[in-house]
Amino acid sequence: MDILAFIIAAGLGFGLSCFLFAVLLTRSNDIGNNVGEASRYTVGIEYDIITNNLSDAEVKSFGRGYITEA
Amino acid sequence: MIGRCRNCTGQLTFDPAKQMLVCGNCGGTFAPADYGVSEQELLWDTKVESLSDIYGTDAPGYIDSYVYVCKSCGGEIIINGTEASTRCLYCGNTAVVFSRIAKQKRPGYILPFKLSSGDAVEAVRGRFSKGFFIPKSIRNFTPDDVRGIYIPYWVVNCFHKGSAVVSGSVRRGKRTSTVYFGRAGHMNITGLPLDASRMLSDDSSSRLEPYDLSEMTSFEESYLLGFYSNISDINYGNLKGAASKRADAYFDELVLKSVHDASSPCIHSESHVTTVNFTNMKYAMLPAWFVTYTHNGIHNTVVVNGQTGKVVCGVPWNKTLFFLLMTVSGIAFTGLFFLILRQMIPFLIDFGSGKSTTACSYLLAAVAAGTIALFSYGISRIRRVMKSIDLTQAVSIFNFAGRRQG
Ligand SMILES: [Zn+2]
Ligand SMILES: [Zn+2]
Repeated sequence: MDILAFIIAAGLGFGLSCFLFAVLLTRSNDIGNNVGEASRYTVGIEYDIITNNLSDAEVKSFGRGYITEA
Repeated sequence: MIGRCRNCTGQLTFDPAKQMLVCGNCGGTFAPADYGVSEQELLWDTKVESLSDIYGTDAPGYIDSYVYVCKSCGGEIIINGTEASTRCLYCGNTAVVFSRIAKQKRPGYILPFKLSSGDAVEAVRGRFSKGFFIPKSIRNFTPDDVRGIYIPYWVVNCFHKGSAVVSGSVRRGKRTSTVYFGRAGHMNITGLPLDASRMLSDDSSSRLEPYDLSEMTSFEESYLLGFYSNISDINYGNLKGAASKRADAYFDELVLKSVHDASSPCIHSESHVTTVNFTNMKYAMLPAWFVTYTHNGIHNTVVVNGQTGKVVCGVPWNKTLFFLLMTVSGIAFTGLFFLILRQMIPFLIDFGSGKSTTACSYLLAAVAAGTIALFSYGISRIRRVMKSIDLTQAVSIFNFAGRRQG
């Protein structure tokens, strides 16, 4: 039982450590890695179609004809 | 004459702190807008001659190199195909290639440098001192070169139309299922700055944003005094491509934000069309400092926004320190989790054997999935940092900043 606990603990422990140090490394060494925010250049999208809970068929056909009509 | 003091004919340079042209000899200051280029000066402008025309076409070093004659001292200046101003090797004066600016579309606007070269290096040092994993030798770097370069930009407005299907997970009771959302719409994008120099990668230049373009002023050649500059060398196709790439990303970002009823939404499928308004775009010169230093024999080019002081670069990291601390903390976390789990597991197994082993195996699966997620997120972040370092150490950006005279 202890072995199972240890395996899970090691996975989680090193996973968490990897996650944390990656975040720290980004803050420390990846300087200015962002572009201007969307809100700077646009007031936002004016939606013509908003559909929730698409069926599989709708997923495939969604947006067809919307772009080409210019 | 441009570049010469009206009182004493001393050399003028643009001073970012004063926002004025300052004479290096008598200290006199002049407003750049009052120092236009005279018609006569344009007539005097010497022809730019291709080096390969002069010395024969086959020498590889001469490709895209041109000879220009310094109007201050008559010395030969070697420039590349898109340089609009550079420093003369012999007298140190800024040479503005008027014919190039006049022949190509003349920039309409310029955002004058606000940071001096000292400010730029200070900004880099300040940021480096906050980097825990930045080696000491880099924190105390000595710049090989600090160059102020006006980058040519097109500031464009465009109309974007897009449609996207977003997938997300929704919990219903104990089950999670994938749900799809459809979004189609249009938006106007205004004042988007797109780098117009092919030598500089868009990945590097876009990170210099944001620039406050409301501080732009009408272009005058005299602003270039003391700085390097390039002219635009991209075509409509390049511009449309760059605009589309940015607009697509903004559309996706906004669409994802519009989905509230599901967790971890991501784009499932998408289609876009961006129409750039080519009739009302602005050609502008935007300021950036390029600070280069050498670490372990490799050139690193840090870019600093010449208006805001935003520092852009990936910095080589102290790998020994990083992996040592990560391992130590991994062991510590493992110990902690082990203590907790040792208490919990007998209880869980008991609970499992009693009624549902499925509940227990679900829990184990969730823990395994969580572990994988932690690792993959961590590794993707580290790769992102490495990509930034690659950009900073790229030969192309080093050449953009370094292959200039002076
Ligand atoms: Zn003077
Ligand atoms: Zn000269």
